Amino acid sequence: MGATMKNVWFAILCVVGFVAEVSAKEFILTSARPNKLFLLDAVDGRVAKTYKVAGQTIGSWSIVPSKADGRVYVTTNNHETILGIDLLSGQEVFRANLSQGDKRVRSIYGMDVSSDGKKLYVHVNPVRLKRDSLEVMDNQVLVFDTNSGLDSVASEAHGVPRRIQGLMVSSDDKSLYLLGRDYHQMNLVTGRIVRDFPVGSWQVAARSPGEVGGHWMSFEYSDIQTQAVYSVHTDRDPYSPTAYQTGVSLLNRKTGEFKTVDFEYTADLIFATAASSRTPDVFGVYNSLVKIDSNAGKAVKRVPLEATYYTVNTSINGEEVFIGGGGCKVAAHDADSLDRIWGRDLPGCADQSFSWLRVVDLDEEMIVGLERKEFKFQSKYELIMEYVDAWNRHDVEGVLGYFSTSFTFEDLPMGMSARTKGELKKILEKTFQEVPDFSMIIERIHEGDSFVVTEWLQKGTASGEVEGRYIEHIPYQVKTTSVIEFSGNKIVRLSDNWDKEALMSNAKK
Amino acid sequence: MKHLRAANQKAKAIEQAVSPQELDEVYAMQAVGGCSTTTDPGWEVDPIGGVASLCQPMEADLYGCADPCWWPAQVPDIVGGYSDWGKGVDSAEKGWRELDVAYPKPVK
Repeated sequence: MGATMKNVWFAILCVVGFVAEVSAKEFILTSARPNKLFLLDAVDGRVAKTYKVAGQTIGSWSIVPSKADGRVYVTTNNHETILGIDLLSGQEVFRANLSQGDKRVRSIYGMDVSSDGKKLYVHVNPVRLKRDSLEVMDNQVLVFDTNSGLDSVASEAHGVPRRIQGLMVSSDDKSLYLLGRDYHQMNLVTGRIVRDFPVGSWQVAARSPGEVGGHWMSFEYSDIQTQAVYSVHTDRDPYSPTAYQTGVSLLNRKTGEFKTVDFEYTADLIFATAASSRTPDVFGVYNSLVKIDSNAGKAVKRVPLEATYYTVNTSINGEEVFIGGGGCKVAAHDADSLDRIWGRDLPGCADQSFSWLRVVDLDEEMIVGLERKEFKFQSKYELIMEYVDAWNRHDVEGVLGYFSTSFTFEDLPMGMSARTKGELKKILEKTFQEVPDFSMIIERIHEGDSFVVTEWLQKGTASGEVEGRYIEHIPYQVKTTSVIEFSGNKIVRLSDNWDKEALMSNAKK
Repeated sequence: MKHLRAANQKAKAIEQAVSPQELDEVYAMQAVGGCSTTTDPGWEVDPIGGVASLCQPMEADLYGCADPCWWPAQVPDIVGGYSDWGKGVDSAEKGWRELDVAYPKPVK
């Protein structure tokens, strides 16, 4: 008995100890061409791990995280294969080839996993390949046991409506929501559609059918899947902006509650929307980021974006908004102010296209092959503008922070050079001492893969010794060209060239 | 037509199809955002006739329109027939010059 109790206490201590050591951390999943799945640190957007997805993945794919077992399910081979990947190890743990024999079967985005991680639901549209024609077959939802390994076949198949692009399993795992132009609820025991949620076929007085452009899934922590819905007030002047309505549909996987809320006239387009865990916050994105109060039915704040973003999600606590998709940019914004927290380019600036942005919670310590390299996440333009800000603040330590541990710096006209941060620090301190109002004004930035050339004006009032001559309080403004080479985000070579004669001619006046 | 007689399977299928009673249902595209079914913006004007709601930059939208078969008329159909379009060009914004026109495949 004593030994048994000892074992019990040992087990409890092990569990407590294990829990105490777990370093759960929030990450973002996104995919980019040609076959990369990125795990990004939600704190700063840095790439934590890159998964090379097997198969032909040109195009974009579904990303379905499974909270229960830390897996992610993706589509590959031109939507004909489903892969399950363990996010910690990066190992492929599940594979299902959808096409069989003369049946070509593709899943165009519709996929979700049960909350216990045991069942995977995949919407497919099969086509029979005949010798001289294609036979369009009925759409189905296939059910897979996720522990069936690398040669999995569906254990069940249920006929479903066409034009479904998103799947969402209810919180109790008893229903499956099918999202298309209309939404439907399927009973997972019987396989029957038990409820319809009309959007494209709604009957609203003096209103056109609701229009949705697609479904970007983002319900993992809010339990609510949302999507922008567009419609036209048919009783209004079609030349009036008030004829065109933007709304958002909200489908709650916990309660089954469904509603569509109008919130603004369609002056700004929105692609994806995401509900936050902080009800009633909903965020929409495209060329701007908008915060929507889904109870009041109004847009409460909007900020313009520097590029198009297709998709949006929120942090687990709802305090940050993540945007991505389309091109290669991913960014985080404060959920209240909508101010930008960080913005990154994915490595190689590869397009994310239609990729979803999903949020996962993982034990960082357990991730095999965690990457902490300094990729060129940030566009060089943004980096240079930050670097220039540090110069204009006369922030010596700030400027030094942009240089690699090994670098060369040279100011050709002044014959100054530095190879260590100590040497560069002296040059910076001397510059700010002799030109107390020194400023850099960027005129142009020419960006290459690993270098930039900047054209800028240096401006200030100089004192000190130049070519053996002491000058005092000489205002000057000279055009300068800098060649700046990078390794990752750090400067490894900087060469400044400017017209010293312009300074000296001012001194002679 | 009465002087023509279907000689092979395909011709017989065509003969059947011209009979209204035999016409199959027309299937909608699978993608929700299909090319002709939505009022999404184009690359020339946006839904309200302006340019503010066009993708910025436009190149970032090329794969977004091709990958989900969104606009299979305006960009190559990556899902159906031209899966190699864009191969080797991971960033449309930087490599759009490499993206070629998709020519019809020769009939074998």
